[in-house]
Formats: sequence, C-alpha cells, structure tokens
Amino acid sequence: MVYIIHLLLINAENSTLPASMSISKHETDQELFTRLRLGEAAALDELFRRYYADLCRVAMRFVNNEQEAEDIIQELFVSIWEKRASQRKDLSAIGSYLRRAARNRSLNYLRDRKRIPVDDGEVPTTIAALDKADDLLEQSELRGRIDAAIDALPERCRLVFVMSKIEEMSHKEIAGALDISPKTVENQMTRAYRFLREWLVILLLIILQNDW
Amino acid sequence: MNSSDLHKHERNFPSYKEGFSPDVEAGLLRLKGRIEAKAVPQPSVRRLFRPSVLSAAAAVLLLFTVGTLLLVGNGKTTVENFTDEPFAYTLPDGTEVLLQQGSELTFGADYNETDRLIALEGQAYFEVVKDASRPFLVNTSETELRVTGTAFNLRISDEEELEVEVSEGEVELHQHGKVYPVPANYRGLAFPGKSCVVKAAKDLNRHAWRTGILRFEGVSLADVITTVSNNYGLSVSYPQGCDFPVSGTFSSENPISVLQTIAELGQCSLEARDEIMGDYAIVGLCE
Repeated sequence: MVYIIHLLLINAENSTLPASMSISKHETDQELFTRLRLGEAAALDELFRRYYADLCRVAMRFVNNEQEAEDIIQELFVSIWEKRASQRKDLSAIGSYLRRAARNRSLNYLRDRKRIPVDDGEVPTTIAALDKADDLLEQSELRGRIDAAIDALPERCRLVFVMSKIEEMSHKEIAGALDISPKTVENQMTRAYRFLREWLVILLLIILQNDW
Repeated sequence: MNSSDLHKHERNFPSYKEGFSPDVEAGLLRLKGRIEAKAVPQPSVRRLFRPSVLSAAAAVLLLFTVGTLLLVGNGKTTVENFTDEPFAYTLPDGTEVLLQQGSELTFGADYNETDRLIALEGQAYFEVVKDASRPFLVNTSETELRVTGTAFNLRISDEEELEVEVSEGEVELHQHGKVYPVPANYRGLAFPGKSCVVKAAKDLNRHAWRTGILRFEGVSLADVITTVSNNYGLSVSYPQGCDFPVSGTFSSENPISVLQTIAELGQCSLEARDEIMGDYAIVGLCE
C-alpha cells in the first residue's frame, strides 16, 4: 500500500509529457527536431501543428478514408515521440522525411489489410457504371470533380496514378511498393490518362452547363 | 478534348484530396491521449532477471532494486510485485501479464502442458495467447475463470471476490456446473456463496489503474468509491447516507486527485487518515 500511493504521487508529478520552455513559431524544423530529441513535448506539438494536416492529406491519397488517414498520421507522431531519442541528428529536410514516412505507413497500412489490389480492375465506361457516380456529379467545384474522377479509377490504377503524379514517386519505387513490374506501372499510367482524358471532357461539359 | 487541354487540367491533379482539412488542435489532443495511454508500462518491455543465475546476495539486492522476486519451490513459480509500479511479466506460453503493485501471481511447472492454470492474489491485466486446446484457467474455491485467448483485467481479493472485466474477446466463469459467459465490455463478479453476476462495463473502469482513465455517467457515490478503492487498493470512508450522482471522465494516474474532485462535487472535501495505508475519508455536509 505504501508503494502504491507513492508511485501515484510520483507519477502525478512526472507527467509523461513534461511542460517546457516556450517554442517559437520561427524556430526551424531542425531546431524543433533537436529539441524533440531532448524530450521536449512542446517541440512535438509545434511539429504536429506544422505538418499534421499536410501529412493527413498524403495518407488520405492512399487510403481514401479520412478516419483511417488521421489514425495513420497519429500513429506516426506517436512513434516519432516514442523513438525521439534514436532519431537521426543530421536530418536536414524534416518535411520530406515526414512525408516519406507518411507514404510508407499508408502503404503498410493497405498491405496489412490486404487492400493492395492484385488485379487491374475494370475501367468504368459509363456514368452508371461508376461506383461513385453520385459523388462525381454532386461536386460543385472543378477540384471536387477531378478528385471524384481520380477516385473512379480502378484501385490499382488509382494508386499508381496518385503515387506517380501527386506523390511524385518514381516508377521503380511504385513497382517496389505495389509488388508489380515497372512495365505494369507504365500500363496503368496510360490507362489512367486515357480514362481521365475522357472523363474530363464530360466534367467540363457539366461545369459549363452549370455556369450558364 | 485534345491532349493540350488535358495538360491544362493536369495542374489540378496535385490538389487531389487537398479539400481534406483535419482539425489539427483536436488531432493534437487525441495524440496526447494516445501517448499517455502508451506510456503505461507495456508487458514484455522489461526482462525479468532469473534468480537461478544469481547468488543469494544478488537475489536480496534484486529484491530491493528490481523488487520483484521469483520464488521457485515445489516446481511452482511465484511472481510478487514488490515494486512501486506495475510489473510486466511474460508467462511461458507468451501470455503477457501486467501485475499491479502488491499483487502475486503463481503458476506450476506443468503450466501450458494440458492447460494453463494460474493463481492470482490482487489485480492484474492479462493478454492471453490464443490456444483453444490449452485453456487458460484461474480458480478460486468456488469459481473457475476459463479463457482461450483474450484480454481482460482480473482482481481477486483476500475474501476470494473475483472480478473480471473483459476488454477483448470473451471469457467464461464456471461455478457449480453453471457457465456464465463474459464478453468484451462486460464485467463478471463472483463471490463465495453467491451466484455470478455479469454486467455491462462499456467504460472499462476496472482497467483504470493501468490506463489512468475512469468514466462515470450518473453513478452513485457508493459505487464510485467502490470502483476507485478496489482499483487502486485504497480504503475510503464517506458520511453515512451521503449520496449524489457522479458524472465525468477522469484522466489521471493519481486516484487521490480524482477522489478530491468527486468529494467537491458533493460540497465535501477529502481528508487523508493514513496516507501510508491508503486510508482516506470524504468529510463534509454532503449536499
């Protein structure tokens, strides 16, 4: 009993996330990372505020689900905090390091859930054949329509397209990540372009109509 | 559309999913919750020293430094947590145990041969490795807890009160030939001379000593006091007839501050009778 009470009092004092000196918004990412490695929780907060939304969008491009995207990035920050002491000292581009980590975690997430497609899938040829036809037509902005058109691609095709065009990964990286040949990556890119070209015509027509 | 039109619109591709803007401050709060939850000692993080490779003197030293003594006699192994924090221990089958301070776990040399029988005095959290052919068993004189693979919090008092709260999977309580299944988010209670009772336990308050989180929704003061005292091994008295509903989520590793807050809800205050023994009293008008 003695020990229980003592432990609890000690724990109450040594909170897991110690308060710390103020962190300025002008500190560079590198400075923040150094302070993080020393165990300053405020440095984690600032890095989180700087990168959370961006990284969630990276994950979103892969998993296409807001809740899952946020979970993946939450776990990324938990792991950054837990492994703070062993983070590299000479990390120069924190932003691209974090984005790469977000991409890898998203891909692992899909892989663990067997959500990396094993076949090419069918390209929808009519509006009615689109799973997300309603999504596509309900979007009022061009950006939303383009998102919906990309989402309408068969999953493997969509992943390849997103990884290449938006996440700017090389064909070799994509081939490795999805366990397909570089040739397949190229084929999927061609398919994606052909599909998007056709759909963009329709999308633009709808938009023009609405604008009138 | 020709290909130059497409190129024009390609400018819009990098904005794919830019429309998604998560709530950063809410996300930061959630992150803190996750980090706090993980800061609880996880089973298998620490390795237990084996007394067999240590001299008697070292074993004594071990008692005071590590504090958890492994006694081996009659082929039985007893792990007693003398330390002032929860102790992580892995059983021979890989089942992970987080043993509360002052609690004791015993198992025989034949553990994992035909079954996995253990005895517990005090409180522990178990993550039992799945193995339908070798059930994981805990016995008191009248009740047997039977598990194949799941996670749960178990407390067995000196009076043989057995309370299991399941966070994953399902366990069974066997008593006088009757079986009481206890699924996840339920709590089973067995007391000698009484039938088992199974109740919903969506808040998993019995795990509070490990998670630091207690949730009450309009729970009577008496029940709140029982929950907190059993969970942290405290003894708390309150004025006779004093009762008010308690609602709220408490996220604290310090049960004393939780009790203080609860006392203030009823216009009372908390007095320490004997901090060493964990003896406290809620005093005041109780309105």
